[in-house]
Amino acid sequence: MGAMWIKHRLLRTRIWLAVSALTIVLSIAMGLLFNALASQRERLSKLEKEYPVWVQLSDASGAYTDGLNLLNSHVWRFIRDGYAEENGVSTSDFFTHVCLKLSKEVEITMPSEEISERLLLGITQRESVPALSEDGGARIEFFEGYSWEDFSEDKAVCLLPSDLIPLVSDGAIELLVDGTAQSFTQIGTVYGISDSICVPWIFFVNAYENGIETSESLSAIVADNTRLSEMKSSMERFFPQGTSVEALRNHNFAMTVFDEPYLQAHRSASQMIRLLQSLQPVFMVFCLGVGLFAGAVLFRTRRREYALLRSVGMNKPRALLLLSAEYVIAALIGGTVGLIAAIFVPQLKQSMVLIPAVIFCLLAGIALSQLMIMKKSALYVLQANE
Amino acid sequence: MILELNNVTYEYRTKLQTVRAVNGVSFGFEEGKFYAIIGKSGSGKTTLLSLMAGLDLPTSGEILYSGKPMKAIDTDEYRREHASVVYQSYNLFLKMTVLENAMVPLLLKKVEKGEARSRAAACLRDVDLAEDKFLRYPNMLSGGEQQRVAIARSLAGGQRIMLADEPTGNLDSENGKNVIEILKRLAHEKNMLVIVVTHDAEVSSQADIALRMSDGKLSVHGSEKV
Repeated sequence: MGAMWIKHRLLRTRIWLAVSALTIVLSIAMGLLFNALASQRERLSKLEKEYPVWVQLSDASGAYTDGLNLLNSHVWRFIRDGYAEENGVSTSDFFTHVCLKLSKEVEITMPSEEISERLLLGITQRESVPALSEDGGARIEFFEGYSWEDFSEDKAVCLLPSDLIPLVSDGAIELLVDGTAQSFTQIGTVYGISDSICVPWIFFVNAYENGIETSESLSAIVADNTRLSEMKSSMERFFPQGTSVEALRNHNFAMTVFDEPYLQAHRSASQMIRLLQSLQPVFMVFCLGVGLFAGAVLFRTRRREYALLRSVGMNKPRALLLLSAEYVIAALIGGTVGLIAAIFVPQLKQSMVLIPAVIFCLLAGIALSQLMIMKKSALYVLQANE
Repeated sequence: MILELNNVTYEYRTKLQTVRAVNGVSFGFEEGKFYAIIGKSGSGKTTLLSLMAGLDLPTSGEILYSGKPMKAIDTDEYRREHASVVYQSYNLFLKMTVLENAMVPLLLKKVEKGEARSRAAACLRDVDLAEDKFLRYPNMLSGGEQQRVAIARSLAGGQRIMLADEPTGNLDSENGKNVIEILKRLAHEKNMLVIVVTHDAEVSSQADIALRMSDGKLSVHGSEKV
């Protein structure tokens, strides 16, 4: 009975064609969505990798902690403005340590023989910023046009060991990043406090415009070089020429650069990723809805056939199974075609694993809709068609 | 008595009230006889038929099949083995051929396909359907022919009880007469219990026993014919 029924329903109705077509379309749509998400992730990853930021940590004694597991191992704490005076302490008494999650490891070495080689680690700005909060007492000197709101979002942060400060010249320092010389410019200041680890550091970040390093990009961000000069003056005040490394370690300030083009690109990519990610479950629910709708559209016909099967003595589960089977087979045919399409279309390859999920949601919707056709009295349904 | 109704009542609730469609019906039906239940629309005759077909259970009272209460019988099995229904609008499976329609009850009973085919064909011949129509689809037949296919489908299952709900309602008088003749013949020749629900007095006049349904109550209508 079952085989005869399925054969007739599949061969003589267009329902299976519609369900197959629907499954193919949904599978391919899911593939395109997945592909778009993968592209955005790749774009974001490339953006972050191309933005060279790096950090050097040291402990209270000044020894460098390259070998530590730096993932969430330290915490930012910052002194609020006026704290030192109120409590009768000197900023030199305060220490700062860092909470960073590292995403990229690069080897940064000194071009100068005066400073020994050391390994510096790269960071992503996303993880560094959350620890910097106004509530935490951080004091930050912003460049003109920027505020806490800008700073609290993803910003590029980089730490430079204080012993490299003497190498800063005209507000810039040249380092070798993975063997390639790059120039880094000092353009901002952050003040903070720590109670356990001394990390005297300076932030240097290279500003990029459209992915190309240009000195003009810094000017574009800060509007003019006045702030740069101020920063440079502060640096000279704190770290006069010839200041020993030891002395430098007792100071706790840093500088942060805000790179608007990078931030905009990062924000845009991040937002797109969040949107696409949120669309995935929505899409699945949509597939479920499509399945429900497909089943509901045929509700009247299916209800009659269900009633008829029940009136000739078929039991409930078997009758429902029979009626659902053609949709299941149609969806499987459609899904298989969708999978084959995914194999041959490069853009859809990554989404192949999701096609079964699409089919499942579609079938779940159809199955749910079939439950609607269970009627207590078959005769009344059959009578209603007269 | 193959089918007995003992004080059968059926109620259902609407938003405004409770309706008693069948009201304390008691009657015994015998095999080998052709019964007609006549009544106006809303008299409860279709509801009574539904109860006798095992498509629903009475609110109170009991229905006995061969002495066994319907409540104690699996109703799916009852419809598969003991009682079949013929409808006014034939209700054939439109995507199956005439022969396949007639085979359905046999396949449900897990009869082997070849045997099911030959038994179904025999039933179609019993209802005077030409063999060249066996492989046609229902929409290619006339109303009378479709109704005969529906009867053949009921017959093929081998059930002893055939319940027909307005079987001539969509047919012209000629075809209607033919269908009633077939039902009578089945009742007498195959010793089946055939019950026809109708509002047509002409149909009820053909019955061995005519019953009247009115406001949920059943009474004998006219005299018994032998």
